[in-house]
Amino acid sequence: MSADHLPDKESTFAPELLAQRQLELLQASLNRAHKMVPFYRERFIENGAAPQDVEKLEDLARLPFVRREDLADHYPYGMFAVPLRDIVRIHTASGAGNKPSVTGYTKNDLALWKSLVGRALKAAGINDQDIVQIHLDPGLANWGRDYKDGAEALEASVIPLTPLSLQKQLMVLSDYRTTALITTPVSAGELLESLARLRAAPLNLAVKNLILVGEPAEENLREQLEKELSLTTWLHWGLHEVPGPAIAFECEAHDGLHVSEDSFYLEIVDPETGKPAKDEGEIVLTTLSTRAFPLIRFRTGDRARLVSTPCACGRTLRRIRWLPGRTDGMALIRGVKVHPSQVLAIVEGILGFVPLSCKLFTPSKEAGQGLEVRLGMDDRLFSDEVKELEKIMAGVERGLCQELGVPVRVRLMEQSADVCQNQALIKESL
Amino acid sequence: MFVNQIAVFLENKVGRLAEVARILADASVNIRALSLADTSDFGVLRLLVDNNEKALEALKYNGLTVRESRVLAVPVEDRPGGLLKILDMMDAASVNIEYMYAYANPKGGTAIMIFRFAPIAKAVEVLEKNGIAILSEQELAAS
Repeated sequence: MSADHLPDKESTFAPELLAQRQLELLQASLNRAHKMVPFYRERFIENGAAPQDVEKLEDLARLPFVRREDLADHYPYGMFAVPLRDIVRIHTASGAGNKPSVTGYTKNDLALWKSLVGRALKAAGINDQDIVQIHLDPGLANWGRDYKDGAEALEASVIPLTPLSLQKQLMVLSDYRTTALITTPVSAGELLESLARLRAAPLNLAVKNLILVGEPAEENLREQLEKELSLTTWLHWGLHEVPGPAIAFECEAHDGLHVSEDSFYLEIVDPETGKPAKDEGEIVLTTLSTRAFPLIRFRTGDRARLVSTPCACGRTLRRIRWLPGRTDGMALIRGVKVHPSQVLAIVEGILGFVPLSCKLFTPSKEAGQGLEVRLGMDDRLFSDEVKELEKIMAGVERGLCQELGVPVRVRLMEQSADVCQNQALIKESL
Repeated sequence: MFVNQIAVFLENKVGRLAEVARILADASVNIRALSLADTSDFGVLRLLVDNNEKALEALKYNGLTVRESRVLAVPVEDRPGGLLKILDMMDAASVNIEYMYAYANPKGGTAIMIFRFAPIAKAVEVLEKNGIAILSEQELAAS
Protein backbone atom coordinates (compact mmCIF):
# COMPACT_ATOMS: atom_id res chain seq x y z
CA MET A 1 0.00 0.00 0.00
CA SER A 2 1.51 3.28 -1.02
CA ALA A 3 1.43 6.30 1.24
CA ASP A 4 -0.94 7.96 -1.22
CA HIS A 5 -3.66 5.56 -0.24
CA LEU A 6 -3.31 6.12 3.48
CA PRO A 7 -6.61 7.24 4.97
CA ASP A 8 -6.83 10.47 6.93
CA LYS A 9 -7.42 10.48 10.67
CA GLU A 10 -11.15 11.19 10.39
CA SER A 11 -11.63 8.15 8.18
CA THR A 12 -10.32 5.80 10.84
CA PHE A 13 -12.09 7.03 13.97
CA ALA A 14 -13.33 4.32 16.29
CA PRO A 15 -17.09 3.95 15.81
CA GLU A 16 -17.89 5.40 19.25
CA LEU A 17 -15.76 8.47 18.62
CA LEU A 18 -17.29 8.95 15.18
CA ALA A 19 -20.79 8.65 16.65
CA GLN A 20 -19.95 11.19 19.35
CA ARG A 21 -18.65 13.65 16.76
CA GLN A 22 -21.66 13.05 14.53
CA LEU A 23 -24.05 13.76 17.38
CA GLU A 24 -22.33 17.03 18.27
CA LEU A 25 -22.34 18.19 14.66
CA LEU A 26 -25.91 17.04 14.14
CA GLN A 27 -27.23 18.94 17.14
CA ALA A 28 -25.48 22.10 16.03
CA SER A 29 -26.79 21.67 12.49
CA LEU A 30 -30.37 21.03 13.65
CA ASN A 31 -30.22 24.13 15.84
CA ARG A 32 -29.02 26.26 12.96
CA ALA A 33 -31.66 24.87 10.60
CA HIS A 34 -34.37 25.42 13.20
CA LYS A 35 -33.27 28.99 13.80
CA MET A 36 -32.52 30.07 10.24
CA VAL A 37 -34.80 28.09 7.91
CA PRO A 38 -38.57 28.60 8.38
CA PHE A 39 -39.23 25.40 6.41
CA TYR A 40 -37.38 23.29 8.96
CA ARG A 41 -38.81 25.19 11.91
CA GLU A 42 -42.34 24.54 10.69
CA ARG A 43 -41.54 20.90 10.03
CA PHE A 44 -40.19 20.48 13.55
CA ILE A 45 -43.28 22.11 15.03
CA GLU A 46 -45.64 20.01 12.91
CA ASN A 47 -43.95 16.88 14.17
CA GLY A 48 -43.80 18.01 17.74
CA ALA A 49 -40.04 17.69 17.74
CA ALA A 50 -37.48 20.28 18.69
CA PRO A 51 -33.74 20.08 17.95
CA GLN A 52 -33.04 19.55 21.65
CA ASP A 53 -35.16 16.37 21.54
CA VAL A 54 -32.45 14.74 19.46
CA GLU A 55 -30.32 13.38 22.28
CA LYS A 56 -28.85 10.48 20.38
CA LEU A 57 -28.33 9.80 16.68
CA GLU A 58 -31.28 7.40 16.51
CA ASP A 59 -33.61 10.21 17.61
CA LEU A 60 -33.13 11.81 14.21
CA ALA A 61 -35.61 9.25 12.85
CA ARG A 62 -38.35 11.23 14.64
CA LEU A 63 -37.90 14.07 12.19
CA PRO A 64 -39.64 14.01 8.81
CA PHE A 65 -37.90 13.46 5.50
CA VAL A 66 -36.98 16.22 3.08
CA ARG A 67 -37.67 15.59 -0.61
CA ARG A 68 -36.65 17.19 -3.87
CA GLU A 69 -40.12 18.71 -4.14
CA ASP A 70 -39.44 20.60 -0.92
CA LEU A 71 -36.33 22.12 -2.44
CA ALA A 72 -38.27 23.16 -5.55
CA ASP A 73 -41.02 24.66 -3.36
CA HIS A 74 -38.48 26.92 -1.68
CA TYR A 75 -36.80 28.14 -4.83
CA PRO A 76 -34.48 29.91 -4.93
CA TYR A 77 -33.11 30.78 -1.48
CA GLY A 78 -35.75 29.42 0.90
CA MET A 79 -33.56 26.60 2.20
CA PHE A 80 -30.47 28.71 2.87
CA ALA A 81 -29.42 28.81 6.51
CA VAL A 82 -27.08 31.78 6.26
CA PRO A 83 -27.62 35.33 5.00
CA LEU A 84 -26.81 35.78 1.31
CA ARG A 85 -23.82 37.96 2.14
CA ASP A 86 -22.14 34.87 3.59
CA ILE A 87 -22.75 32.84 0.43
CA VAL A 88 -19.80 32.75 -1.92
CA ARG A 89 -21.11 30.35 -4.55
CA ILE A 90 -24.54 29.41 -5.87
CA HIS A 91 -25.17 26.18 -7.77
CA THR A 92 -28.23 25.13 -9.71
CA ALA A 93 -29.21 21.51 -10.19
CA SER A 94 -32.16 20.00 -12.01
CA GLY A 95 -35.15 19.76 -9.73
CA ALA A 96 -38.37 17.87 -9.43
CA GLY A 97 -40.64 20.27 -11.28
CA ASN A 98 -40.72 23.68 -12.85
CA LYS A 99 -38.06 24.98 -10.53
CA PRO A 100 -34.50 23.78 -10.18
CA SER A 101 -32.78 23.12 -6.88
CA VAL A 102 -30.56 26.00 -5.86
CA THR A 103 -27.83 25.41 -3.33
CA GLY A 104 -25.34 27.79 -1.78
CA TYR A 105 -21.92 27.49 -0.23
CA THR A 106 -20.20 29.59 2.36
CA LYS A 107 -16.46 30.04 2.13
CA ASN A 108 -16.05 27.29 4.71
CA ASP A 109 -18.44 25.01 2.83
CA LEU A 110 -16.29 25.32 -0.28
CA ALA A 111 -13.20 24.45 1.73
CA LEU A 112 -15.03 21.47 3.20
CA TRP A 113 -16.09 20.21 -0.21
CA LYS A 114 -12.64 20.67 -1.54
CA SER A 115 -11.30 18.47 1.22
CA LEU A 116 -14.05 15.84 0.83
CA VAL A 117 -13.53 15.53 -2.91
CA GLY A 118 -9.78 15.61 -2.36
CA ARG A 119 -10.09 12.78 0.15
CA ALA A 120 -12.04 10.64 -2.33
CA LEU A 121 -9.51 11.29 -5.09
CA LYS A 122 -6.64 10.59 -2.72
CA ALA A 123 -8.16 7.21 -1.92
CA ALA A 124 -7.85 6.48 -5.64
CA GLY A 125 -4.16 7.25 -5.44
CA ILE A 126 -4.36 10.67 -7.08
CA ASN A 127 -1.58 13.02 -6.00
CA ASP A 128 0.43 16.06 -7.11
CA GLN A 129 2.07 14.02 -9.86
CA ASP A 130 -1.23 13.45 -11.64
CA ILE A 131 -2.75 15.15 -14.63
CA VAL A 132 -6.48 15.01 -13.97
CA GLN A 133 -8.94 15.43 -16.83
CA ILE A 134 -12.63 16.05 -16.20
CA HIS A 135 -15.04 14.96 -18.92
CA LEU A 136 -18.73 15.32 -18.00
CA ASP A 137 -21.94 16.34 -19.76
CA PRO A 138 -22.97 19.99 -19.29
CA GLY A 139 -25.71 18.79 -16.92
CA LEU A 140 -22.96 17.80 -14.48
CA ALA A 141 -21.11 21.11 -14.67
CA ASN A 142 -21.40 21.64 -10.89
CA TRP A 143 -19.59 18.41 -10.26
CA GLY A 144 -16.96 19.47 -12.78
CA ARG A 145 -16.21 22.49 -10.59
CA ASP A 146 -16.16 20.41 -7.40
CA TYR A 147 -13.80 17.86 -8.90
CA LYS A 148 -11.55 20.61 -10.19
CA ASP A 149 -11.39 22.07 -6.67
CA GLY A 150 -10.77 18.68 -5.08
CA ALA A 151 -8.00 17.74 -7.50
CA GLU A 152 -6.39 21.15 -7.12
CA ALA A 153 -6.41 20.64 -3.36
CA LEU A 154 -4.16 17.63 -4.00
CA GLU A 155 -2.02 19.89 -6.18
CA ALA A 156 -2.65 17.74 -9.22
CA SER A 157 -2.60 19.41 -12.65
CA VAL A 158 -6.25 19.77 -13.62
CA ILE A 159 -7.77 19.95 -17.09
CA PRO A 160 -11.20 21.29 -16.07
CA LEU A 161 -14.53 20.48 -17.62
CA THR A 162 -14.63 21.95 -21.11
CA PRO A 163 -17.29 21.30 -23.71
CA LEU A 164 -15.23 19.40 -26.26
CA SER A 165 -16.23 16.82 -28.82
CA LEU A 166 -15.38 13.22 -28.08
CA GLN A 167 -12.54 13.36 -30.59
CA LYS A 168 -11.04 16.45 -28.95
CA GLN A 169 -11.37 14.86 -25.51
CA LEU A 170 -9.45 11.88 -26.85
CA MET A 171 -6.81 14.13 -28.33
CA VAL A 172 -6.32 15.88 -24.98
CA LEU A 173 -6.39 12.54 -23.18
CA SER A 174 -3.61 11.24 -25.36
CA ASP A 175 -1.48 14.31 -26.11
CA TYR A 176 -1.56 15.85 -22.63
CA ARG A 177 -0.63 12.51 -21.05
CA THR A 178 -3.63 12.53 -18.73
CA THR A 179 -3.09 10.11 -15.84
CA ALA A 180 -6.50 10.30 -14.17
CA LEU A 181 -9.84 10.73 -15.90
CA ILE A 182 -13.09 11.67 -14.17
CA THR A 183 -16.18 10.82 -16.20
CA THR A 184 -19.48 8.94 -16.26
CA PRO A 185 -19.70 5.23 -17.11
CA VAL A 186 -21.60 6.14 -20.31
CA SER A 187 -18.89 8.53 -21.45
CA ALA A 188 -16.17 6.05 -20.51
CA GLY A 189 -17.90 3.45 -22.67
CA GLU A 190 -18.02 5.93 -25.55
CA LEU A 191 -14.32 6.70 -25.20
CA LEU A 192 -13.56 3.00 -25.23
CA GLU A 193 -15.59 2.56 -28.40
CA SER A 194 -13.88 5.47 -30.10
CA LEU A 195 -10.52 4.04 -29.14
CA ALA A 196 -11.48 0.70 -30.62
CA ARG A 197 -12.28 2.42 -33.89
CA LEU A 198 -8.80 3.93 -33.96
CA ARG A 199 -7.15 0.58 -34.53
CA ALA A 200 -5.18 1.96 -37.44
CA ALA A 201 -3.33 4.43 -35.24
CA PRO A 202 -3.90 3.34 -31.64
CA LEU A 203 -3.50 6.07 -29.05
CA ASN A 204 -0.99 5.52 -26.34
CA LEU A 205 -2.81 6.56 -23.20
CA ALA A 206 -1.16 7.28 -19.88
CA VAL A 207 -4.38 7.01 -17.87
CA LYS A 208 -3.87 4.93 -14.73
CA ASN A 209 -7.00 5.80 -12.83
CA LEU A 210 -10.53 6.22 -14.06
CA ILE A 211 -13.01 7.79 -11.63
CA LEU A 212 -16.57 6.83 -12.57
CA VAL A 213 -19.33 9.13 -11.36
CA GLY A 214 -23.02 9.84 -11.83
CA GLU A 215 -24.44 6.36 -12.12
CA PRO A 216 -23.66 2.87 -10.84
CA ALA A 217 -21.15 1.32 -13.23
CA GLU A 218 -21.91 -2.14 -14.47
CA GLU A 219 -19.37 -4.71 -13.42
CA ASN A 220 -18.70 -5.95 -16.95
CA LEU A 221 -18.08 -2.41 -18.23
CA ARG A 222 -15.57 -1.84 -15.44
CA GLU A 223 -13.80 -5.08 -16.23
CA GLN A 224 -13.69 -4.21 -19.91
CA LEU A 225 -12.32 -0.72 -19.22
CA GLU A 226 -9.69 -2.04 -16.82
CA LYS A 227 -8.58 -4.81 -19.14
CA GLU A 228 -8.51 -2.91 -22.41
CA LEU A 229 -7.07 0.32 -21.07
CA SER A 230 -4.83 -1.17 -18.35
CA LEU A 231 -6.12 1.09 -15.62
CA THR A 232 -7.99 0.96 -12.33
CA THR A 233 -11.59 2.14 -12.03
CA TRP A 234 -12.98 3.86 -8.93
CA LEU A 235 -16.64 4.49 -8.35
CA HIS A 236 -17.88 7.65 -6.62
CA TRP A 237 -21.37 8.42 -5.40
CA GLY A 238 -22.65 11.92 -4.81
CA LEU A 239 -25.59 14.25 -4.99
CA HIS A 240 -26.54 17.17 -7.18
CA GLU A 241 -28.37 18.95 -4.39
CA VAL A 242 -26.21 18.90 -1.33
CA PRO A 243 -23.41 20.31 -3.27
CA GLY A 244 -21.30 17.47 -4.07
CA PRO A 245 -19.89 14.53 -5.84
CA ALA A 246 -17.77 12.00 -4.00
CA ILE A 247 -19.82 11.82 -0.81
CA ALA A 248 -19.03 8.11 -0.99
CA PHE A 249 -15.94 6.69 -2.66
CA GLU A 250 -14.08 3.48 -3.28
CA CYS A 251 -10.80 2.64 -1.59
CA GLU A 252 -8.19 0.23 -2.90
CA ALA A 253 -10.21 -2.70 -1.57
CA HIS A 254 -12.91 -1.90 -4.17
CA ASP A 255 -15.50 -3.48 -1.95
CA GLY A 256 -18.25 -0.89 -1.64
CA LEU A 257 -18.08 2.88 -1.26
CA HIS A 258 -17.01 4.54 2.01
CA VAL A 259 -19.42 7.28 3.03
CA SER A 260 -17.78 10.41 4.47
CA GLU A 261 -19.66 9.94 7.71
CA ASP A 262 -17.71 12.64 9.45
CA SER A 263 -19.73 15.10 7.33
CA PHE A 264 -22.91 13.11 6.68
CA TYR A 265 -25.25 10.98 8.69
CA LEU A 266 -26.27 7.98 6.62
CA GLU A 267 -29.55 6.08 6.77
CA ILE A 268 -30.80 3.37 4.44
CA VAL A 269 -34.59 3.28 4.58
CA ASP A 270 -37.34 1.21 3.08
CA PRO A 271 -38.70 3.53 0.38
CA GLU A 272 -42.26 2.38 1.06
CA THR A 273 -42.42 2.67 4.83
CA GLY A 274 -39.57 5.09 5.55
CA LYS A 275 -38.40 2.70 8.29
CA PRO A 276 -34.78 1.51 8.43
CA ALA A 277 -34.25 -1.03 5.66
CA LYS A 278 -33.21 -4.52 6.62
CA ASP A 279 -31.09 -5.10 3.57
CA GLU A 280 -31.25 -2.70 0.68
CA GLY A 281 -33.15 0.54 0.46
CA GLU A 282 -33.01 4.24 -0.29
CA ILE A 283 -30.09 6.37 0.79
CA VAL A 284 -31.17 9.13 3.17
CA LEU A 285 -28.56 11.73 4.04
CA THR A 286 -28.29 14.39 6.68
CA THR A 287 -25.55 16.96 6.34
CA LEU A 288 -23.48 17.50 9.47
CA SER A 289 -20.97 20.14 8.44
CA THR A 290 -22.38 22.27 5.63
CA ARG A 291 -23.42 25.72 6.84
CA ALA A 292 -25.23 27.32 3.94
CA PHE A 293 -27.47 24.47 2.93
CA PRO A 294 -28.27 21.97 5.68
CA LEU A 295 -30.26 18.96 4.57
CA ILE A 296 -32.05 16.95 7.19
CA ARG A 297 -33.03 13.41 6.24
CA PHE A 298 -32.90 14.06 2.51
CA ARG A 299 -34.45 11.31 0.38
CA THR A 300 -31.86 10.87 -2.34
CA GLY A 301 -33.81 8.44 -4.53
CA ASP A 302 -30.65 6.35 -4.92
CA ARG A 303 -30.66 2.71 -3.89
CA ALA A 304 -27.95 1.02 -1.87
CA ARG A 305 -27.14 -1.77 0.53
CA LEU A 306 -24.90 -1.45 3.57
CA VAL A 307 -21.69 -3.46 3.60
CA SER A 308 -21.23 -4.46 7.21
CA THR A 309 -17.87 -6.22 7.21
CA PRO A 310 -14.78 -4.17 8.21
CA CYS A 311 -12.76 -2.88 5.27
CA ALA A 312 -9.24 -4.06 4.55
CA CYS A 313 -8.10 -0.45 4.00
CA GLY A 314 -8.48 0.44 7.68
CA ARG A 315 -11.15 3.11 7.19
CA THR A 316 -13.98 2.82 9.66
CA LEU A 317 -16.37 4.86 7.50
CA ARG A 318 -19.24 2.56 6.64
CA ARG A 319 -19.58 1.35 3.08
CA ILE A 320 -22.52 1.13 0.72
CA ARG A 321 -23.01 -0.91 -2.39
CA TRP A 322 -24.64 1.41 -4.92
CA LEU A 323 -27.48 -0.40 -6.68
CA PRO A 324 -28.98 0.40 -10.06
CA GLY A 325 -32.48 1.84 -10.30
CA ARG A 326 -34.15 4.57 -8.31
CA THR A 327 -36.87 4.88 -5.72
CA ASP A 328 -38.24 8.14 -7.14
CA GLY A 329 -39.60 8.93 -10.59
CA MET A 330 -36.35 10.42 -11.80
CA ALA A 331 -34.40 9.09 -14.72
CA LEU A 332 -30.62 9.02 -14.72
CA ILE A 333 -29.44 10.23 -18.12
CA ARG A 334 -25.69 10.04 -18.52
CA GLY A 335 -25.32 10.68 -14.81
CA VAL A 336 -27.71 13.64 -14.89
CA LYS A 337 -30.94 13.38 -12.92
CA VAL A 338 -33.99 14.21 -14.99
CA HIS A 339 -37.45 14.43 -13.53
CA PRO A 340 -40.37 13.66 -15.88
CA SER A 341 -42.41 16.59 -14.59
CA GLN A 342 -39.48 18.88 -15.30
CA VAL A 343 -39.34 17.62 -18.89
CA LEU A 344 -43.07 18.10 -19.28
CA ALA A 345 -42.83 21.64 -17.93
CA ILE A 346 -40.09 22.50 -20.43
CA VAL A 347 -42.01 20.92 -23.31
CA GLU A 348 -45.10 22.87 -22.31
CA GLY A 349 -43.05 26.05 -22.22
CA ILE A 350 -41.82 25.45 -25.75
CA LEU A 351 -45.08 24.30 -27.34
CA GLY A 352 -47.35 26.59 -25.37
CA PHE A 353 -49.54 23.66 -24.34
CA VAL A 354 -49.25 20.29 -22.67
CA PRO A 355 -48.99 17.55 -25.29
CA LEU A 356 -51.50 14.72 -25.10
CA SER A 357 -48.76 12.24 -24.49
CA CYS A 358 -45.09 12.62 -23.82
CA LYS A 359 -43.12 9.51 -22.99
CA LEU A 360 -39.53 9.50 -21.84
CA PHE A 361 -37.11 6.79 -22.72
CA THR A 362 -33.83 6.41 -20.96
CA PRO A 363 -30.81 5.79 -23.16
CA SER A 364 -30.19 2.31 -24.39
CA LYS A 365 -26.77 0.74 -24.22
CA GLU A 366 -25.92 2.35 -27.53
CA ALA A 367 -23.30 4.99 -27.10
CA GLY A 368 -23.96 8.63 -27.76
CA GLN A 369 -27.61 8.49 -26.93
CA GLY A 370 -29.27 10.77 -24.46
CA LEU A 371 -32.84 11.16 -23.42
CA GLU A 372 -35.46 10.13 -25.96
CA VAL A 373 -38.73 12.04 -25.80
CA ARG A 374 -41.68 10.65 -27.75
CA LEU A 375 -44.41 13.14 -28.37
CA GLY A 376 -47.79 11.76 -29.29
CA MET A 377 -49.14 13.50 -32.38
CA ASP A 378 -52.26 15.52 -31.86
CA ASP A 379 -54.28 18.15 -33.70
CA ARG A 380 -52.34 21.03 -32.19
CA LEU A 381 -48.98 19.68 -33.32
CA PHE A 382 -49.89 18.29 -36.69
CA SER A 383 -49.21 19.99 -40.00
CA ASP A 384 -49.47 18.76 -43.56
CA GLU A 385 -45.96 20.11 -44.08
CA VAL A 386 -43.03 17.98 -42.99
CA LYS A 387 -40.85 21.02 -42.43
CA GLU A 388 -43.28 22.37 -39.83
CA LEU A 389 -43.15 19.08 -37.96
CA GLU A 390 -39.38 19.01 -38.14
CA LYS A 391 -39.31 22.56 -36.81
CA ILE A 392 -41.30 21.43 -33.77
CA MET A 393 -38.96 18.49 -33.17
CA ALA A 394 -35.86 20.65 -33.46
CA GLY A 395 -37.31 23.33 -31.17
CA VAL A 396 -38.19 20.88 -28.42
CA GLU A 397 -34.84 19.12 -28.78
CA ARG A 398 -32.92 22.36 -28.50
CA GLY A 399 -34.94 23.61 -25.54
CA LEU A 400 -34.64 20.38 -23.57
CA CYS A 401 -30.98 19.98 -24.36
CA GLN A 402 -30.24 23.49 -23.10
CA GLU A 403 -32.22 23.04 -19.91
CA LEU A 404 -31.14 19.52 -19.02
CA GLY A 405 -27.55 19.54 -20.21
CA VAL A 406 -27.78 16.13 -21.86
CA PRO A 407 -28.36 15.16 -25.49
CA VAL A 408 -32.06 14.86 -26.31
CA ARG A 409 -33.80 13.25 -29.25
CA VAL A 410 -37.44 14.01 -29.94
CA ARG A 411 -39.60 11.64 -31.95
CA LEU A 412 -43.13 12.18 -33.14
CA MET A 413 -45.35 9.18 -32.68
CA GLU A 414 -48.86 8.27 -33.69
CA GLN A 415 -51.38 8.88 -30.98
CA SER A 416 -52.60 5.33 -30.63
CA ALA A 417 -56.25 4.89 -29.77
CA ASP A 418 -55.58 3.00 -26.56
CA VAL A 419 -53.36 5.66 -24.99
CA CYS A 420 -55.20 7.18 -22.09
CA GLN A 421 -55.54 10.88 -22.62
CA ASN A 422 -53.88 11.94 -19.41
CA GLN A 423 -51.05 14.38 -19.25
CA ALA A 424 -48.67 12.37 -17.17
CA LEU A 425 -45.31 11.17 -18.31
CA ILE A 426 -44.37 7.57 -18.37
CA LYS A 427 -40.79 6.55 -17.94
CA GLU A 428 -39.73 3.36 -19.59
CA SER A 429 -36.45 1.81 -20.38
CA LEU A 430 -35.66 0.81 -23.91
CA MET B 1 -62.00 27.44 -55.63
CA PHE B 2 -59.99 25.62 -53.01
CA VAL B 3 -59.84 21.89 -52.71
CA ASN B 4 -59.80 20.38 -49.25
CA GLN B 5 -57.07 17.86 -48.80
CA ILE B 6 -56.72 15.46 -45.90
CA ALA B 7 -53.32 14.99 -44.29
CA VAL B 8 -52.68 11.99 -42.06
CA PHE B 9 -49.78 11.53 -39.64
CA LEU B 10 -48.17 8.11 -39.88
CA GLU B 11 -45.24 6.52 -38.15
CA ASN B 12 -42.69 5.25 -40.61
CA LYS B 13 -43.27 1.56 -40.14
CA VAL B 14 -44.51 -1.41 -42.04
CA GLY B 15 -48.21 -1.59 -42.79
CA ARG B 16 -49.26 1.94 -41.84
CA LEU B 17 -50.16 2.99 -45.38
CA ALA B 18 -52.08 -0.23 -45.92
CA GLU B 19 -53.91 0.45 -42.68
CA VAL B 20 -55.09 3.84 -43.97
CA ALA B 21 -56.13 2.28 -47.26
CA ARG B 22 -58.08 -0.37 -45.37
CA ILE B 23 -59.84 2.17 -43.13
CA LEU B 24 -60.88 4.19 -46.20
CA ALA B 25 -61.96 1.11 -48.13
CA ASP B 26 -64.09 -0.04 -45.19
CA ALA B 27 -65.71 3.39 -45.14
CA SER B 28 -66.32 3.17 -48.91
CA VAL B 29 -64.16 6.20 -49.53
CA ASN B 30 -62.38 6.41 -52.87
CA ILE B 31 -58.86 7.86 -53.01
CA ARG B 32 -58.46 10.17 -56.01
CA ALA B 33 -54.86 11.26 -55.44
CA LEU B 34 -52.21 10.95 -52.80
CA SER B 35 -48.73 11.97 -51.94
CA LEU B 36 -46.55 10.68 -49.14
CA ALA B 37 -43.77 12.75 -47.60
CA ASP B 38 -41.52 10.68 -45.44
CA THR B 39 -38.70 11.13 -42.96
CA SER B 40 -36.79 8.42 -41.14
CA ASP B 41 -39.30 8.48 -38.29
CA PHE B 42 -42.62 9.51 -39.69
CA GLY B 43 -44.57 10.33 -42.81
CA VAL B 44 -47.31 12.73 -43.79
CA LEU B 45 -49.84 11.24 -46.16
CA ARG B 46 -51.89 13.73 -48.16
CA LEU B 47 -55.07 12.53 -49.74
CA LEU B 48 -57.77 13.77 -52.05
CA VAL B 49 -60.82 11.59 -51.61
CA ASP B 50 -64.39 11.58 -52.86
CA ASN B 51 -65.90 12.12 -49.43
CA ASN B 52 -63.90 14.11 -46.90
CA GLU B 53 -66.47 13.89 -44.15
CA LYS B 54 -66.62 10.11 -44.20
CA ALA B 55 -62.85 9.80 -44.55
CA LEU B 56 -62.11 12.13 -41.62
CA GLU B 57 -64.60 10.39 -39.40
CA ALA B 58 -63.22 6.94 -40.17
CA LEU B 59 -59.57 7.97 -39.77
CA LYS B 60 -60.20 9.80 -36.50
CA TYR B 61 -62.26 6.91 -35.20
CA ASN B 62 -59.22 4.73 -35.77
CA GLY B 63 -57.04 7.01 -33.68
CA LEU B 64 -55.18 8.73 -36.48
CA THR B 65 -54.28 12.40 -36.36
CA VAL B 66 -55.72 14.15 -39.40
CA ARG B 67 -55.98 17.67 -40.69
CA GLU B 68 -57.83 19.28 -43.57
CA SER B 69 -55.96 21.90 -45.52
CA ARG B 70 -56.64 23.91 -48.62
CA VAL B 71 -54.77 23.21 -51.83
CA LEU B 72 -55.26 24.31 -55.41
CA ALA B 73 -56.11 21.95 -58.27
CA VAL B 74 -54.76 23.35 -61.50
CA PRO B 75 -55.07 21.84 -65.00
CA VAL B 76 -51.66 21.76 -66.59
CA GLU B 77 -51.25 21.49 -70.35
CA ASP B 78 -50.19 17.96 -71.21
CA ARG B 79 -47.18 18.89 -73.32
CA PRO B 80 -43.51 19.75 -72.76
CA GLY B 81 -43.23 22.94 -70.74
CA GLY B 82 -46.77 22.71 -69.44
CA LEU B 83 -45.73 22.55 -65.79
CA LEU B 84 -42.87 24.97 -66.29
CA LYS B 85 -45.30 27.68 -67.34
CA ILE B 86 -47.03 27.55 -63.96
CA LEU B 87 -43.78 27.29 -62.03
CA ASP B 88 -42.31 30.32 -63.79
CA MET B 89 -45.35 32.39 -62.91
CA MET B 90 -45.01 31.51 -59.25
CA ASP B 91 -41.30 32.06 -59.29
CA ALA B 92 -41.78 35.54 -60.71
CA ALA B 93 -44.32 36.30 -57.98
CA SER B 94 -42.13 34.80 -55.23
CA VAL B 95 -44.74 32.20 -54.38
CA ASN B 96 -43.27 29.12 -52.80
CA ILE B 97 -44.44 25.58 -53.52
CA GLU B 98 -44.46 23.58 -50.30
CA TYR B 99 -45.33 20.42 -52.17
CA MET B 100 -47.26 19.22 -55.19
CA TYR B 101 -48.57 16.00 -56.64
CA ALA B 102 -50.47 14.74 -59.65
CA TYR B 103 -54.12 13.91 -59.87
CA ALA B 104 -55.42 11.12 -62.08
CA ASN B 105 -57.17 12.57 -65.11
CA PRO B 106 -58.39 9.70 -67.26
CA LYS B 107 -60.01 12.07 -69.75
CA GLY B 108 -56.64 13.28 -70.94
CA GLY B 109 -55.81 16.56 -72.58
CA THR B 110 -54.51 18.10 -69.44
CA ALA B 111 -52.80 16.74 -66.40
CA ILE B 112 -54.13 17.95 -63.08
CA MET B 113 -51.59 18.97 -60.52
CA ILE B 114 -52.31 19.57 -56.86
CA PHE B 115 -50.24 22.41 -55.42
CA ARG B 116 -49.64 23.54 -51.90
CA PHE B 117 -48.56 27.14 -52.47
CA ALA B 118 -47.39 29.60 -49.86
CA PRO B 119 -48.89 32.14 -49.73
CA ILE B 120 -51.94 30.56 -51.26
CA ALA B 121 -53.89 33.80 -51.81
CA LYS B 122 -51.14 35.24 -53.91
CA ALA B 123 -50.96 32.05 -55.97
CA VAL B 124 -54.66 32.36 -56.74
CA GLU B 125 -54.12 35.94 -57.85
CA VAL B 126 -51.25 34.91 -60.14
CA LEU B 127 -53.17 32.06 -61.70
CA GLU B 128 -56.27 34.18 -62.32
CA LYS B 129 -54.23 37.01 -63.78
CA ASN B 130 -52.64 34.56 -66.19
CA GLY B 131 -55.96 33.00 -67.14
CA ILE B 132 -55.12 29.61 -65.65
CA ALA B 133 -58.12 27.61 -64.46
CA ILE B 134 -58.42 26.51 -60.87
CA LEU B 135 -60.68 23.53 -60.42
CA SER B 136 -63.34 23.44 -57.76
CA GLU B 137 -64.04 20.29 -55.79
CA GLN B 138 -67.05 19.61 -58.02
CA GLU B 139 -65.01 20.05 -61.20
CA LEU B 140 -62.28 17.85 -59.80
CA ALA B 141 -64.73 15.16 -58.84
CA ALA B 142 -66.28 15.31 -62.29
CA SER B 143 -62.97 15.01 -64.09
